[in-house]
Amino acid sequence: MKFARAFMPIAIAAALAGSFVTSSVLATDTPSVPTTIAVPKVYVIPMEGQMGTDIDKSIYEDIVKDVAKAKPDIIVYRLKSADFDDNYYMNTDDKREAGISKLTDYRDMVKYLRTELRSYPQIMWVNDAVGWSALLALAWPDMYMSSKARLFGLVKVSQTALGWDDPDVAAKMMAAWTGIGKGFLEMGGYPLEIGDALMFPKKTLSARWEGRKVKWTLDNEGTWIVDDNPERTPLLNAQIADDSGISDGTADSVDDLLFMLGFREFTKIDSGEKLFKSYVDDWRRDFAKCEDLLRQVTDPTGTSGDAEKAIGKAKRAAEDILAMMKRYPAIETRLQRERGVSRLALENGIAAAKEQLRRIKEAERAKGRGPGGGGNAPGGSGLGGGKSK
Amino acid sequence: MNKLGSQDCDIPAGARSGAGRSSLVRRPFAILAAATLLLTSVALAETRLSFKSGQSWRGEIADTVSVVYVEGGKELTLEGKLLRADKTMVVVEGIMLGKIAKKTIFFGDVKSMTTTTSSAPAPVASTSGGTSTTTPPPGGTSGGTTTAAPSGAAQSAEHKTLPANYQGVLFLPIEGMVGTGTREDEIKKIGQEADRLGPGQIIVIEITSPGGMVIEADQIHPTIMDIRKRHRVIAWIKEAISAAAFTALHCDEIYFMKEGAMGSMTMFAGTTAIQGAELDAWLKLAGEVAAESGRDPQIARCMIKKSFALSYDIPEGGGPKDAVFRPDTKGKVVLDTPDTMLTINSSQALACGISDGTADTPEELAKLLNLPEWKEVNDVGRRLHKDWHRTLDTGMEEIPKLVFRLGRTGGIDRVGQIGADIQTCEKLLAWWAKCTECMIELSQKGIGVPPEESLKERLIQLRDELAAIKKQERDNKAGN
Repeated sequence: MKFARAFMPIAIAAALAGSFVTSSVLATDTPSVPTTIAVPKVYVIPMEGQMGTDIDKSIYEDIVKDVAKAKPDIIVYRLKSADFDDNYYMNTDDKREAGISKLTDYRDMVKYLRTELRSYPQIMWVNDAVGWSALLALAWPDMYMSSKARLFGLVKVSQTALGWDDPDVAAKMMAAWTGIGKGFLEMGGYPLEIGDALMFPKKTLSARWEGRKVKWTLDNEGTWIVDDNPERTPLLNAQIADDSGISDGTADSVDDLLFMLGFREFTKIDSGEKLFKSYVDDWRRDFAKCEDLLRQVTDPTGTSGDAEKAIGKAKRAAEDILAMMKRYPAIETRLQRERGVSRLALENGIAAAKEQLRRIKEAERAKGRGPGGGGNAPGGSGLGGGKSK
Repeated sequence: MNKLGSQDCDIPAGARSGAGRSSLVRRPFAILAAATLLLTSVALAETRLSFKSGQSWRGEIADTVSVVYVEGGKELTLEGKLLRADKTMVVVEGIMLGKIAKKTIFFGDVKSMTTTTSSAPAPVASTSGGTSTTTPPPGGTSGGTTTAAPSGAAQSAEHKTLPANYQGVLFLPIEGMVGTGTREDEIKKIGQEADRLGPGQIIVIEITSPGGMVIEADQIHPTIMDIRKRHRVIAWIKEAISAAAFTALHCDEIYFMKEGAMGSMTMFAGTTAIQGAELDAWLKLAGEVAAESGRDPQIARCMIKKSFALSYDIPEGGGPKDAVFRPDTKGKVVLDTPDTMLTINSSQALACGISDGTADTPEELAKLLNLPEWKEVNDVGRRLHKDWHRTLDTGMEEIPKLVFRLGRTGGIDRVGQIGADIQTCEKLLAWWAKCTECMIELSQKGIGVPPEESLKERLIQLRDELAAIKKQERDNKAGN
C-alpha cells in the first residue's frame, strides 16, 4: 500500500474537518477523550454475536443503567459481528446466525446509545463487522479497528429493497432503504459516498485529496482506488480503512486502543461485559430449551393417550415458550425466522387449548364419564391432543 | 419483509368495504382532487420571484412593471403590463419601437423587476400572529433552473423572531405508517390546541414514518396548510419517507436529526407506480406544496419520478439557501440522477437549504429555532401521541386474537358457541369503531380481519339463530 503513509496526515485532517460545526448543525457528537485524567476508567460495551438477537436494544437498556452507576471516563464499544467467516468459498457459515433484517431497530438502538450516553466520550472499536453490523461501525465518529477486522456487507441494505418490478417503485424502495442506511454514516460523520459504495455493488469508489480534505467519489478517477469492481461492493479491511482515513487507527487490544488514545494506564470496568455475557448465555440457553418444548407442543408424548393430559402438556409447553419469548425478544425473532412460530400463533394456540380443555370438562360433566375429546364443536386447531381419540 | 412495500397502496378491498371512518372509504388517490383545487387558486394569486442578482419581486400578473434585463450583453429596461412571470420566463406587454408589443425575457436574463402600478389592492396579512401566506408561482413543470427557497428564507427570518405571547413550543411526535400511526387527527388536534393558545404558536412535529396511505396524506395536506396560516409549523425529521416526506414538505421549516432521511414519494397502487394524469397531478401538487413552503418544486418532483435528475450550484459568496437547482446532473453537487429516486440525508439537505438545520435533541433544536430554551407549553402533543399509540398497540395485539377466536369458542352446546361468537363480533365491531386504522393495517399484514359490514350481518344472523333456538326451547317446554 504505497499510499498508506501519505494518507495518515490526511486522515487527521479529515477528522479535524469532520469536527467543523456550522451554525445550523447543533447535533453534537460525544465529548472528546479526556486528556487530563491520568488513569481513566474505561467501560467496555460488547456488541458481539448475531445482529438482532445478541446485539439488541433490550440488553443495552440494562447496560446504560449500569454505565450511569459506574460513571466511566471513556466508553469503548467492542464490535464483533460477522455474517460469514473469511473462508468465502467453503460456505460453512451457519445461516441461522446471520444478522436479522431490522434496519430501523438498529438505527434506534444506535440513537438510544448515543443519546443516553452522550455525556461520555465514546469510541467504536471494530473487531469484525460484516453485514448489518457494518452500519454500527460507521455510526460513531471515533472508530478504530483491530488488524484482522473487516468492514463490509452492506449490500444487505440494498437487497432489502429488491423484488419490485415497476422501475419507479423499485427506485423508491431502494432510495428509501439505502437513505435510512446512510443515516448511520451521517451519525458517524462519514462521507455518504462510502455508504453508497458499500451498499450498491455497481458503484465503484476512489479517493483523492483536495487541499487537506479527503474527497471520496463513486468512480475510479481518484488517486486511491478502493473499489473498481462494478459487480460487487468493496471488501474494506482494517488496513484499507486505516490508510484511507475511514478509521482512526488500528489496535489489537483495549490496551493498544487506550495507548493510541494517549493513556498508558487505565482501569477497565467489566460489568458491562458481564451483563452482556449473561444476557447472551441466558437467551441462548432458553432458546435451546424451546426446541424440546416445541416438540411437546406438536407431539405431547407420555400422556398415555389421555386427551386432556396431552392438551394440558402442550398448553404448558406453549406457555413456557411464550414466557421466554416475552423475556427475550431474541427468542421470538429466532423462532419466527427458523420455525415460523410467532407469538400470536402461540397465544392463539394456548387460547384454543384452553377452549378444548373446557369442552372436555363440559363433556365429562354432561356424560358423567371419562375423556371424550374435543366434542363436535368447531375449532380443533389448538395444541396437541388430537391423537388421543 | 418490505416494510415500506405495502404502504403507499390502496386500502385492501375487504377493509375498505367496511371502513367505519368516512374518510377511509373515499376512492384511492383522492389527493388528486385536491391538486386541481390548489392549481385553480394559484392562477389568481400573488407571484413571488427571486432573481439571480438577489433581488426579489412580489406582485401579480397584470401589474405594470419595470424590468431590467440583459440582452446581447447589454442591460436594457422595459416597462409595461406583466403578462407572465415564472421561473422560466417573464412576458411584458409594452411599447417597443413605437408599437405595443409583447416581449419575452428568459428568467435567467432578468436582473430586476419592480412594480410601478399594482393591479390589485395592497396585500393584507392573513393573521396577526402567524405567517402571512403568499401563493408561490406554479412550480414543478417548468424544468428550468430555479433559485432555492427565497420565500422560505424570508419566512424563516420572520419566524425566528419570537411572538410576544411565546410560552414554549407545542410538540407532537408522529410515528408509524401514515394512516395508522401517523394521522391527520393528531395534527388537527395540536392545531386546535395552538389556536386555543393564540396565533403565532410554534408547533414542532417530530416525524418518524415510513409513509403510508395517500388518503391520509390527502387529509393532512389541507390541515397543515390551514394551521400554517396562524402558526409556525416545524418538521423535525428522523424518518420521513413517502407520504411522511409529503407531510414534512408542508412545514414552514424542516430540521433533520443526524440520522434523518426524507424522500421517496412515488405513489403506487398494488405494485405499480401511478402514471399519466394521476402522476402529473401528483407531481404538480407535491411541487406546489414544496413551493408554498419556500422550497424548490424540483426537489419534490425528484422524490416522485425516477427519470428526473437534480443538481445544484451555490453562487459565490452564497449560502445553502442560495442554492440554484437544475433539472440535470450538471450542477456542482448532484443529488439525484435519472436512474435513482431522491431520498435525502441530513448533511445533503443542510448543504442545499432543504433543511434549516440538524439537531439530535430538543435542546439542540431549541437553539436552532432561536428559542431561549426547550420548553413545551404543555404535554398535549405528547399525550395525543401516547394515547393514540396505546390504542393502536392494544388493537394490534387484541384484534388478531379476536379474529382467531371467531367461530372457535363457546363450549359444546350451540347456544354457548353463538353467545361467544356474538361477544367476539361485538368486540371486533367496537374495534372497527375505535381503531379503523388497526383493522386496515392488520388486513395489510394478512390477518383476515372481517369487514365491518360482514361482521354486522354475522351478528344479526347469530342473534336470529339464538332467538330461534331459544324459541324452540320455549316451544319444546310448552309442548312438554
